[in-house]
Amino acid sequence: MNTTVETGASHSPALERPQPVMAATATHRTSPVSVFVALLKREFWEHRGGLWTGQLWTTGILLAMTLLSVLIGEAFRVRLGGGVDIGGVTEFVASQLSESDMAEYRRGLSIGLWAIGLINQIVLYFVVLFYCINTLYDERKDRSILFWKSLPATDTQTVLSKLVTAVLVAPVLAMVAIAILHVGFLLIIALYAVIQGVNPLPFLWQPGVYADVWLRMLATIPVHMIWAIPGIAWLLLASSWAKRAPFVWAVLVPILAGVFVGMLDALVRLGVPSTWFWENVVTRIFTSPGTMLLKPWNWQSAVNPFADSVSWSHLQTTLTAPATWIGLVIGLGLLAAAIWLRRYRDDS
Amino acid sequence: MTAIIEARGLSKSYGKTRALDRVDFTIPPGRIVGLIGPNGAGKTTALKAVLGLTPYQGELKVLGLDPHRQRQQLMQEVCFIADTAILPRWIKVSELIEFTERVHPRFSRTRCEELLRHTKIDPKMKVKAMSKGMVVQMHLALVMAIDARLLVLDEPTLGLDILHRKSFYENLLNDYFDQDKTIVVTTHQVEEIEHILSDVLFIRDARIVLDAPMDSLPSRFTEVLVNADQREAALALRPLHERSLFGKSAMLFDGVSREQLTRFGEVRTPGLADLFVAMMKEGHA
Repeated sequence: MNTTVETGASHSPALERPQPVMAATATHRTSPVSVFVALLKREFWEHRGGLWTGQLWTTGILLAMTLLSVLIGEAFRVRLGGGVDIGGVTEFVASQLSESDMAEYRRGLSIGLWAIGLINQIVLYFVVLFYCINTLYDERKDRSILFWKSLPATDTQTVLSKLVTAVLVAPVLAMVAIAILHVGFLLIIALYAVIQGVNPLPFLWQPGVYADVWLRMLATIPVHMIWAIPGIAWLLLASSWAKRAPFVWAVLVPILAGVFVGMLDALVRLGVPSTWFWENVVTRIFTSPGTMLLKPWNWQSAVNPFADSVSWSHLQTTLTAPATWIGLVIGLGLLAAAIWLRRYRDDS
Repeated sequence: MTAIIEARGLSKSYGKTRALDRVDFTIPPGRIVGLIGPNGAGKTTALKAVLGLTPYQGELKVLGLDPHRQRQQLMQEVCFIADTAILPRWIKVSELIEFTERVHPRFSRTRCEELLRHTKIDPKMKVKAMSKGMVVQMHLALVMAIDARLLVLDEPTLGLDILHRKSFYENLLNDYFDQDKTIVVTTHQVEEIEHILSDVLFIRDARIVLDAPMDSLPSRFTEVLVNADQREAALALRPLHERSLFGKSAMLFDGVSREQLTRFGEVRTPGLADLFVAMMKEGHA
């Protein structure tokens, strides 16, 4: 029997003997960091469309619209027989501009830069909202969770990678797209000025404005992250919990809770009024996706609503408010619950 | 050698239904074990317990580890394929390979790419663009490139045509299985895996009803084609199962010697499928 096997497959004994050596060389080191990076990449691969391509499309469309409006404006001007001498006027104005006028211009530029990025921020909001609500639900629905669980990545690592994607990766990518938008916008304006024979440099060379806008845009990300973790964690928990319709769980539960608290408040006059609940729980959840710019109450009585909602003093207030940190602790609890559900619930 | 899987009094209930009822079994290394039973008998529950995917009562050790508590550690040495549809549909082959390489210390990219070279699968392809057969080939290539000690297959060839089913098991046997590896497989296509199994576990109504090495089956089980006039005498020897065949009755005996049975009629060794049917119907008839 042995001999026939050996003649039949003469290569097999040779293959068998070095096997342990091969096995030893086949193993390579993985660390929690490399696993986490792989998990983040995984999220990016799956949601590339929303996280990155969608942002680039938004930027591209906004730039195309800017260019189009410039061209249309130019066409009208030419049809008027060039009677409106914008170039000359601008040059005249530029030479006459006082320091206070320039300050006014810088303020306008800053508002413009914040405003033009708003569409990207809104896209970011919806992408992150739906990402959080669906991510832990979809992997159970399509049963791919069984594949992910067949690999040595823990549930904690996996859920955290989804959190980091929502509060860090997505906003950073959106900011990059907004920065590209800013640069493109300024280039179009500069091009227009040059066509008009105006030197755009004094208007474009505003490093102070750019540094301020971009630095604050970057700074909002970690500050908002700390503030948003409880809201995002709630959405992830709903996604991990729901047997179907995770959206209904994520959205309806806080709203119904708010209505209930409101009714209770009307009946027995709670120590804490129901408005507190709406402001600190419901609104906090639904303004967690995206960035700080999308918080309407920050806009009240603001001169530059965008910039003021992310002013340094506002960032500082957010960081020093006890509610921020109490929320964070609750958020970590919700996150632990989401991890626990992914780890131990068996409903496949 | 220590056992790969050791279960003592393994139980699991879903509400009032018992999926596993104080089950004991031991699987030594280097075996290919078929876990066979009708739908709802507890096969998948047993596998889930082994993989640490579900809580259970009783004692269970897989590679010496507690699968529920030490899941991550276990997953470095255990691979599993649960039917054909669990690879994420959006992912690209190259991404799948990169991810597995970063996450799994025992995964060999070279080996995986070498295995894929024999298929029509292209690195740029997405899973959703693949046929069912290709998805299984892909998953098998991933798993075969991982140097694991235990491979668990739950209905791995469900929905595949016969050509893909055959080549699935051929690849597994020729390019993967060796003395240090253990494979546990559940399937409905009993006939197709019969020749590759070294052991068989029959599970029925949450209990193990047969736990035997394949090579012990011929000496234990005999099927006799009993002539009508001998039927009563043969029934006295208490067959496991009786079915009618060409006007005669085919009876399956457990532990009755062949010499004793030849006088009733033609004797043969039952196939695994016959045995399965007999044992699943026993007590139900």
